Amino acid sequence: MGQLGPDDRYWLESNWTISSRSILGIVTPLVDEVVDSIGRDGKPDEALWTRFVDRAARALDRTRAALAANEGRRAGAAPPRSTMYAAAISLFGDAEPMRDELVRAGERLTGPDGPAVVWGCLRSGLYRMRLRASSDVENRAKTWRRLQPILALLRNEHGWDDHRDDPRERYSKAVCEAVADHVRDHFPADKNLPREPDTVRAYFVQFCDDYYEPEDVFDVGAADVEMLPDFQRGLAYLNECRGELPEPHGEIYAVSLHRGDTTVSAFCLKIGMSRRKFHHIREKAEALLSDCVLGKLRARMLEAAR
Amino acid sequence: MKISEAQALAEILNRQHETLEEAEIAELEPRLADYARGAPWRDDDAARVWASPSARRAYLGARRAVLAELEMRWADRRFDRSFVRMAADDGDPDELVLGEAGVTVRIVRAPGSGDWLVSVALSPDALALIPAGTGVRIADSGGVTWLSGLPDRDGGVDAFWDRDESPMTRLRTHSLTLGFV
Repeated sequence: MGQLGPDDRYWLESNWTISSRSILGIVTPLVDEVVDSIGRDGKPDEALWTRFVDRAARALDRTRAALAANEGRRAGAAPPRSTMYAAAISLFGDAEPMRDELVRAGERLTGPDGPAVVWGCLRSGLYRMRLRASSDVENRAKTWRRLQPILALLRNEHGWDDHRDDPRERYSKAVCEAVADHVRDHFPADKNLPREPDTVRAYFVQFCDDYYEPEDVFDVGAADVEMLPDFQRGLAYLNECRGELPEPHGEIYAVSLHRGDTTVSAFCLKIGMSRRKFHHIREKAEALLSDCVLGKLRARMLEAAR
Repeated sequence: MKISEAQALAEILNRQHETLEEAEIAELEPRLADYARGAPWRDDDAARVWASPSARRAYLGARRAVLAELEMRWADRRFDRSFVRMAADDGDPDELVLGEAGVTVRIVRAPGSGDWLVSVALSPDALALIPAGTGVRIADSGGVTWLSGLPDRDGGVDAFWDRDESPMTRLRTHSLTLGFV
């Protein structure tokens, strides 16, 4: 894409959250064949990958055309939504980052958390596709090289260890803030170096192969769930589904709710189960429970819509 | 620490895939903004918010903005939001009252059963700030929710303490914060 037009900037930069959600909503259901292929062979069958990219582009174009048929354009108003899908189609001209993310996840794609892993890969891949489309890669690479001694200095000061730290820590908000603070303090007149944490993060995203977008972008916590309407019904579904778990899955799920204490170890010791087996059953229990609760929520939505 | 049922539910919701079409979400978003400001929920829309991550995200974003505004007004009136057991409140009393301005939190052991009851009482001024449909939540610095619910017309919310550890013991190491839900 190279130079972005104003409509592209509106969707791919200013309103990226809306755009990515919309694009992923369309392409995610199309990726199953590719996921199966990677789960089987460690890499996608080339014909299946090409077919996925082609189907994704066609599905996006169908949505674009359907919207464009019914929308006008008013002066000064936001660009019509069809232009978001036009920008999305251009992104799929270079879908390699999405492919790389899926390949890197490997067998996790078809594991117990498969759907969440696939979603995360597609989201991170799309984010990288957007960066590749919108950035002047050569100049940004120069800036990235200039950031290296700063990162090395900060790693030394803070005791960060690239080889040991979890990627979540390596690219955390604290790291981005430390880099941005350092640039503002030591290079106050240099406008090429990133001066805001989000801008630093964009360099990690673009240049670090093991970067992935933090999960909290779409995730909710306990306090969020308590804000949802009819919260007690949600809890009732959870408890009904817990009651339907077969044993030992139900008991193991109950034990797994204890986090960061010795309950799991004590349980394994008491019943003579290895921790590996415990976690294997726990993963299965969580998958069964998720399927049950999410199935009930979906059925409830369909029933209420009637 | 054992995670709460709400946290367990959150972990399940975070595995959910999108179930609504883009056009459905776009049509729903204006109504979600109304619900965030206290409009009564339509049954089908409430179900959609549970079944669609995008709808949920849109609603929670709008709702957080409304609650942030309420917190600002609460702070302007200098009503209490943080509650700490003073070192002077030593021992293991059967009753403790925390807070003064706008809200009090009372923790009392029921005679006979020995169950602990947690009560929040809002002053009329404080209650008047809270929009219809907005509840209060008391949580501690360790992430445990002590009480959550809609205030009654006198500004009261009650809950029984349901953990093994005594609330008095927990208050020695944790502070309480009032939030809105």
